[in-house]
Amino acid sequence: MYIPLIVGSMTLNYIFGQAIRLCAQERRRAAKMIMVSGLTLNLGLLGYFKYTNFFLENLNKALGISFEHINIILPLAISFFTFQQIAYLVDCYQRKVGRETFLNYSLFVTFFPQLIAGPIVHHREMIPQFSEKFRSKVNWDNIAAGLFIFTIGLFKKVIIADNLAEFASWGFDDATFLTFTESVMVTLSYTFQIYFDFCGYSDMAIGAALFFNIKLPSNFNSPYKAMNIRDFWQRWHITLSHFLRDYLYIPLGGNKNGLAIQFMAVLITFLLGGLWHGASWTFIVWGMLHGLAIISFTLWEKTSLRLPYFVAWATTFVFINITWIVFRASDWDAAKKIFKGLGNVTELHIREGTPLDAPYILGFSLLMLVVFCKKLPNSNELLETLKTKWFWLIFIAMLGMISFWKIGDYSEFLYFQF
Amino acid sequence: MKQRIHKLITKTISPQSFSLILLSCFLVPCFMAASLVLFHVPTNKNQVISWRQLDKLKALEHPKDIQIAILGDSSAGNAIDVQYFAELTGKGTVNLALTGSIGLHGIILMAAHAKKDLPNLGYLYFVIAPTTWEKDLSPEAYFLLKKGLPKSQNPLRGLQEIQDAQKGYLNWLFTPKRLQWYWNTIKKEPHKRGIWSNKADYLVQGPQLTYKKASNVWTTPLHAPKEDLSPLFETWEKLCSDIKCVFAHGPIYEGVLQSSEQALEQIQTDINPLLSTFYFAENEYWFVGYDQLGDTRNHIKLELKNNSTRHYAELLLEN
Repeated sequence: MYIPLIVGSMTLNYIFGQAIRLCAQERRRAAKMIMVSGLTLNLGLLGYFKYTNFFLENLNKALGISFEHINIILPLAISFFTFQQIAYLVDCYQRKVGRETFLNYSLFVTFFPQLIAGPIVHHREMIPQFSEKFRSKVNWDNIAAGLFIFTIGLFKKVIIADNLAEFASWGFDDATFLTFTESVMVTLSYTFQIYFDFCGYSDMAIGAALFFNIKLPSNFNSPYKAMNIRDFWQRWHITLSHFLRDYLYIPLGGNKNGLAIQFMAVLITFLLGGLWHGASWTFIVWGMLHGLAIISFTLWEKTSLRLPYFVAWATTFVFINITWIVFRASDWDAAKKIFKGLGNVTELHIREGTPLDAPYILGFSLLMLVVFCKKLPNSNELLETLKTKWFWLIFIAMLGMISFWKIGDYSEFLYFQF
Repeated sequence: MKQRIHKLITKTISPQSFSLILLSCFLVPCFMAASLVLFHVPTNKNQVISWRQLDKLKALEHPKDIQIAILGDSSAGNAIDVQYFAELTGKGTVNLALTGSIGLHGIILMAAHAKKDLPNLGYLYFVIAPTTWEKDLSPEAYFLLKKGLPKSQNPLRGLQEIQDAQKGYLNWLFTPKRLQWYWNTIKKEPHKRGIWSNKADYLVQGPQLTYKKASNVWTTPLHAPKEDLSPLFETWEKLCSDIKCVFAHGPIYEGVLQSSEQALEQIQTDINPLLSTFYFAENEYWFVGYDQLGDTRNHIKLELKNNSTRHYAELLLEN
């Protein structure tokens, strides 16, 4: 069912796009109607597959009725290809799209490295590359660069994220209560797990695309170096931020129509951005917290007050760290458990027999990750300056072999679920 | 010297050589791992146990004398002393228990092998601990399917899981971790070779577990089965249509029992449909305490092993 779904969605969107393009010049009303139909279709599909049960659950609670859950399996990648196609339709309406062949359009939507978990690519970045003749020839520079970044991504996923997952999963899912130190370690573990997992995937996608001489946009730019919350969103899941900015925040009014409109636009954008991650109130609240933080930061900027460098960085990092608790928790009880642990400031020990029962090693590792994320250049920066030297060959071969030796059980990327 | 090393590592090589050397670093271990498996060198403990049990079945001197086949996970393997069990029941018995990680599908495939190779088999005695119900079909179980079981006798034919396991098997085959396990277990620590000693009826598994670690690992709550088990049950029921199948819960650890009330209830609800085909020798969960675990080579103390063997033999005799 799911292959016909993506093929059908792709075909219809292509037809809608071409129809909008043909009408866009002289028949603006017709073009608008087609665009609205296209958007309704895309959002309808996403809404049905991703949010039906969430809607029913809340309806049941609000009205005291009992609609049964529908057995719906979320099609892989629907959140990603829906956004890419919405951007395409809107750009067709805004006359920013030229004539594309169906083959190129299909490749843009289904290009496998980015299909399942992003980056959310824009047709302007991708489709022109498919038509360039020189890209169909083997390019060893790109293969070397692809292997380089792919291996770094693999290491991030297999060695860092998957090892941290054990601590985060125990704390969020299995533990019945946590001490203060345990809560801090569990929260930090998840903060780094989600970063290295998703960033690892993005690196691997960029690397795999380079094997085919296709350049994908960068999705991360050392987000934990951010000095404020706006800076964070310019560095974290960059392609999603760009999509939300261009196709939601600016159409809602952006920052050109006064503070009230701007704040409303920010809040709506972040609430929907949170909801995009999953059908749960925890994601909505996570989005709302980030929206409120952006609003607070905008107001703060209007004062002449400035925080010292380290305080600004630490405040941002701690805020992000705390909001990940809401993001990760499967329900409110799990979130409360972690927050309660963070409040247990008198209980500083780590209990024996828990997965965290090597506090010095784990604490040191987490501290090193903070330092690495803050101080070292990221994989994209390294890629830009890459020279195929023996040093890099030995380094990457070691990372790759360590990762390959550790690959064992199947471990899903976190962003597959979104 | 330092200068020479510095000069060497900062020397530029062509992107083509860079790529090809890197690719070979990654692909050679993958193909070496696959070769080990294809040349029948066991490369993880589940595989060791499943191959050993299969070999034991094929090498039985008097297969016609066997009336009872014990099937299940390590709770059956470790808790039942097959010779004592045969003495108590007065029936020829073979213990073909696998490990929980092989999953229910693996256990069913082993039962199909037993039915095929034992002409006078009267009982399939399933002893399965609740910890096994949450496990998926493993790649090693897929191997059991390929090893001498004709397509017509494959009880899992048509199940979606088989196709998934096929992909899993290919992934598993090309995983360099297999080499690592082989190297650490067989080459570096030869004393562990005993894990597939022909003298042992069931095989040693797992590293040294201290009581401290045991109390950690074995208090982790169980999860209820993820999948709808009804298609699997249909195949299981078909398998038992012409032979007496008996089911008993395998023991679990005290801490797990205490922390898993919900999952255990769910498992019980899930397996209720099997009641129409199976005889439930025991429909209640039971546990062992940490103090009963005993030495690490056999998981449990001899005293407990004798008691549990008597327990399971009596359950069969009573019915």
